[in-house]
Amino acid sequence: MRFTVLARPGSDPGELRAGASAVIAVGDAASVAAAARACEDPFIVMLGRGVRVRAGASRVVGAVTGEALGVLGGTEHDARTRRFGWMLASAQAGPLPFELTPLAVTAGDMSADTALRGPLDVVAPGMVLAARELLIEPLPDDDVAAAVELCARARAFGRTVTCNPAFACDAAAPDADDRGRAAALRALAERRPELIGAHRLPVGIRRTAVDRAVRLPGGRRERVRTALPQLTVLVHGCCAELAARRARDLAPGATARAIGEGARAADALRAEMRVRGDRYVLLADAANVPDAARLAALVEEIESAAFVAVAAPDTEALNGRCALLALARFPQHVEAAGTTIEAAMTSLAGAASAMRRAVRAPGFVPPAAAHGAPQRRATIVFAAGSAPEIMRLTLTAIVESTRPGDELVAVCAASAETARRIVASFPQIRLETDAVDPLLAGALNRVAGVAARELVVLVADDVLFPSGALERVRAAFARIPALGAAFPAVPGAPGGEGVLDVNYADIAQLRTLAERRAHERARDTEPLDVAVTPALAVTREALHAVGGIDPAFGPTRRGIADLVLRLRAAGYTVARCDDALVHRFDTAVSRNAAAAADAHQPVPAADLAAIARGFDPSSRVPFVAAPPRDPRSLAGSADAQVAIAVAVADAVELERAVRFLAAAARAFDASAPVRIHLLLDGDIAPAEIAARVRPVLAGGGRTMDETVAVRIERVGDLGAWRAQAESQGRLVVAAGHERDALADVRAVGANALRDLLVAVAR
Amino acid sequence: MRTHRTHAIVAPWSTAPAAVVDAERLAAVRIEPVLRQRRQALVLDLYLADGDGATVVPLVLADPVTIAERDRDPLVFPAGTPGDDAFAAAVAERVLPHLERLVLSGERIAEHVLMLAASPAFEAARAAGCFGAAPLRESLVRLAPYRYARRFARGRSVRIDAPDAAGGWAVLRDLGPVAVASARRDAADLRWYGDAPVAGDRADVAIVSAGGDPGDAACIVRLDAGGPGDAPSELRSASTVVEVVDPLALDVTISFDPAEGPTRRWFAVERAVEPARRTVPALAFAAAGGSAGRIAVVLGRADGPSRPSADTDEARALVSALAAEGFDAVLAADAGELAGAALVHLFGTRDGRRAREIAAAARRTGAPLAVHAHDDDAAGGGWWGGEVARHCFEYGDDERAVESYLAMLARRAVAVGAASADVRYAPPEANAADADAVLRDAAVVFAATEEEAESIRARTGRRGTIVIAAPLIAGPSAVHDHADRAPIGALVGPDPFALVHAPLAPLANQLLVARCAADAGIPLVLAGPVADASYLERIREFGGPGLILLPGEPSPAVATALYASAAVVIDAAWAGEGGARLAAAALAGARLAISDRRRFTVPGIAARRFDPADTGALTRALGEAWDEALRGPARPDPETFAALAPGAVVRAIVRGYAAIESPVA
Repeated sequence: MRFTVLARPGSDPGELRAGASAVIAVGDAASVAAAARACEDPFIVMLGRGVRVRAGASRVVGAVTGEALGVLGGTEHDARTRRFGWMLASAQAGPLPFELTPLAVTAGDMSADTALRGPLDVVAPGMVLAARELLIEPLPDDDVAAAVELCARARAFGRTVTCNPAFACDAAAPDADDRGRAAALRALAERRPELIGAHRLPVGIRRTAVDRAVRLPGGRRERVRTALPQLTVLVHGCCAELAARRARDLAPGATARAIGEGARAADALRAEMRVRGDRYVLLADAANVPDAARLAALVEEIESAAFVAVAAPDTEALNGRCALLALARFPQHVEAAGTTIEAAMTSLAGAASAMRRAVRAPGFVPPAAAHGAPQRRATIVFAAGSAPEIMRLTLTAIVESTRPGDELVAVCAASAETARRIVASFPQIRLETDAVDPLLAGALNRVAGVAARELVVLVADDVLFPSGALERVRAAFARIPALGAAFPAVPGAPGGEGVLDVNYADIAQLRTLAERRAHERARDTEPLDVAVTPALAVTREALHAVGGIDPAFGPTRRGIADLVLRLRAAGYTVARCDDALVHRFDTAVSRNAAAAADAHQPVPAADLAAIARGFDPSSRVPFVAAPPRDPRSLAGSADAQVAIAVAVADAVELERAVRFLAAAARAFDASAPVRIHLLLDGDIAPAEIAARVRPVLAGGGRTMDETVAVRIERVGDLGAWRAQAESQGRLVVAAGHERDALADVRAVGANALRDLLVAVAR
Repeated sequence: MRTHRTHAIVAPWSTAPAAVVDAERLAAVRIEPVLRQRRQALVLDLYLADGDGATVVPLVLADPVTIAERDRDPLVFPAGTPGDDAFAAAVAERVLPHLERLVLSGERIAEHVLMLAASPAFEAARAAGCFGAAPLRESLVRLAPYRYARRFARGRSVRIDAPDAAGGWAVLRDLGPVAVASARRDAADLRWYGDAPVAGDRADVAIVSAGGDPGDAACIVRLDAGGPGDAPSELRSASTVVEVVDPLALDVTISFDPAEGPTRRWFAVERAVEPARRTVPALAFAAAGGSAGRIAVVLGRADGPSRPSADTDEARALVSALAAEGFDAVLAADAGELAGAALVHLFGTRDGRRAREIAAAARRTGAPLAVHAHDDDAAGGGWWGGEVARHCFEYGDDERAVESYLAMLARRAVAVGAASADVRYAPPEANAADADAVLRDAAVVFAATEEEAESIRARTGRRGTIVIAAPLIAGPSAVHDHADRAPIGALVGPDPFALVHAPLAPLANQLLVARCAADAGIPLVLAGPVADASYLERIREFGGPGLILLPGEPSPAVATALYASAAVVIDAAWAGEGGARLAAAALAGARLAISDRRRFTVPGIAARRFDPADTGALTRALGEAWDEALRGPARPDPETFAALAPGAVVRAIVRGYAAIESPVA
């Protein structure tokens, strides 16, 4: 192939010199055009300032064939990066109709070369092989604008624009003084109205990756390249089987299946949406399964912003003919309702619009969204477990935070007489008690499960809500789409709810700060993936979708973090309201059982992988535990019962007991005629024990209802307890937990637990 | 209410006796897609009207994604917006449904107006190209000459007899008495901007149209009669012609730098009052002569020749001085031009890779290497500051976020990627280890202070000679050569100003200086070549209305005049290029405010020092230096003259050469 090299100052044609008809020094754009006009070769290699051609470039040029080639670009290497060029992404709210998306990798990274070989919107300007006629008119002076124009010209001439990474040169890093570039690009866009951005990624990468906008802490949003989410293709209509087979090639790892028609198809869509997660579902009739390019266009629409939930080629396609759904952007309670695909899709599009999720289908007119909707009424569930003086203070604050129509329920232990008296002094509060759980998880769930209002606010009684704080949390639900849970900021707290820039000496100062913050940070929220706050508001539909607080953890750090994780995985936004500031009393002051239990738990980290996997409704935590199975029906008679005494006096014994319990949980389940009695005869509080023990019991994958029965009780007189226990069945003691009062009771080690039942059988 | 203090053009204003702060009175909202910090954004102009008048809130910023996600208030109002948080929320309630529809639709957003009530005044203003009603591309070009004229108008009477006079009045009215010629009192304009006073015959500053009569004004700005490029050559020679660039809001708003885009219009400063100049004593340099040998002087910055800084000045001064001494001295561009040199003298090692290449080339030619270290220990906080400071302005999008991040910066609590204040940090391309190796192994190293020498020894393990040499001032920025000082009144106005003269780049820290000067209300002139255009955009964004940008290296004569007129010269660099310009400024009688990272100590010069990360400290130092300067210029001591005398400096350098074994004699 014959070509001429046009070399800018400081450039070195290297090995291209040998194959070139001529090497002509050029300077500005006019001289390039003049040289091109004077040149007789069909192709021209243009070298930018200071560019040095790398070995192998001449081989690429030699291999070029065909008249269709318009522009061939390669890679520019500097010490830090390798640059391939740009894609023209669409720009919705800018003065230009496109946005230059750079394609670059770090120096030495060759992994993307294969994917980047091929068509590209704009090649890197350092070294370019171009058809001569494309250069006859002067290009813009700015290098980048010139490259955009050159590639646009090639397409206008019906020629190709491609990238071959082997066509490489060394070039300096781009000059940060790019004044005038934006103006040059605008002039170009005005001259070429056809120059509209379409894709952020070149063809070779689109099959495996997406460019996604992510929100960084503090609110800034950046685009991050990430793997293409898993694609499931549901094909309905005639010849769906065949179309589904073809659709499996749309993306690596894509699954496709025929789903029949009518109600069956709608059911299949609902079944597919059972677990949402970060994945796509493409719903198409057999005649309209898109090819890879059309699918890429839909993906581009979906990923154009984090709030786009559905994309379709046009409004008609939105009825299920061809629509791409981003499942993670539909909260779990949103169902594809209807007996046909059309109805199901209509319901989804309507739900998305109502939540201010975008439905991208040309011509689609979303129904008018309700604005200024009344703020939600709340069922406030107040967990009373702190010292009475603290509880009285926080409960009063909560009562003052309620509004007409709210439902206020206090939950306390059945034996907490003082708490009951305090609650009784507020006639508007309904009282529920928990007879079993010192952390009150059962009662909390029971009340939350039957909440009558749109919001469920779970509040521990060691959290003080200053005036207006709850109202501001509540207001967030009226603003933020798909908000599942919101909570106030807690100064110095360890989880996502914690803010570090607030210091105060006393409650009065906190109230002042809270007022100032309400003004300075009005309506500021921070979406989060993890939080451990004992004061949070959850929408009823979200709570019903994911279930209550896992009794395995109770309303402790782990319990709340688990609830937040389920909400996030189920597609709900969870946010800290920075305009609402609350105070959490120190455990030493409040003596709150859950807070004390927290002291022994690490703060869980955000589990992004679990969020991406989505929420499986089978892991929903029921609000009311299944009724305990009758041990007599399981084990025959009371004589068959085995009570294992595990006396615990201090933290060392607790850790030993935990190991024993882990073994017991492996050896037995709820159906076994075994009950473990954790006998507290020291300083450790029952709540602390509960918080430590429950995760161990649940560690085997059983729910709390299914694990071996464990009773935690404080025992003042071990002898009396022994007498009573022995009257009800056989008693053994865990090895290492012996006491004088349990002398001559048989000790059982963790390894010998299974032998217990053998003995019973005998 | 979220607020911003950026893009100061015209603050919110009212034509009513009391500001209209009832959201129900919102009559029109102009919406325009823009680029802000090179990202897509929306600008809103709000027009609220009642029977008594109107309130205009221009340049309300909105991030399109936040409009949909609502994780915070999407609307960020300009500082000075009347009303309270309830007003902001109520306005948002009225505007956001429309914006949401736009954003959720995915359709490309074009400039348009949301009319909520009949607004004849708004429509007339839009037709007239008024700011706040018309597209920014139109209105900014109209206001540009008036924005330029702010440098002449402080505390002076201004008479406007030119198109867009009422807009000009709105731009200038906070500076002093501004009035509009009766013939220019266009009804639509006056109804929009307010009732500008009627001008008399006389004023200190006259802004007139092409054929207008400026009277005996001391300062005359004449607006164009034609289109771009039409400025007649005779006008160009007789006055300062200023070109107005086609705006690309918001990153390029009002700009007079033709490199930023095509020119839309021009105007001329026909007459301007020069700022007060100090007499700068001449520093004589008498060469001893008699030396011989080829010395190649080379800059450690590859872009040193194209983007001159203090190191460029000093290197050029050294070449001139060595040539006068009889050496065959050349300023080499790179390692390829060192052949035949008997000695290679490198200025600055911040680019470790280049320093290593030059050292290797010198070794190949058998020439010893002398190094002017210009070492501010960049890895000890300089690179960090250069990298993170701009993020404090870019990461958040409202004033509270900027203030919060700046407070963190002062505590050195900002980290961006690997750039953390807790550890030594240099970007990989700086090749800091190579730089240290060059400093360690050079035949002779020149340092400005004992502290710098000690730091080099401690960090690099150098055992060889380190000669203490004061900055060499001569050459292009030689303030002592005052014969060819150029007039600068048309560029900077007649008033005292603070000056930063360095390449416009993050390491020079002009962004923080501009912010602090704006806070203190001190007119600031930033002069120097543009090394980073996006950084220039940030400076313009946050620099306030008093900022005067002179992008591009000023001619030696203009630089000389700037130093002789500047009240304060500031160097807030995280890592600088030597002290030649500071020395020149000190000798010119300017007060100095210098980053405490900069190694610059000259006898008799008492500079205000500050932590470059601390805007409070910077503002204080700048204010104190400014107050001192207004009380009287600095008067350099005889010992300062002695220390900075070029002859003495050159002799110290030559003695340093002589201390190494070489053919140079």
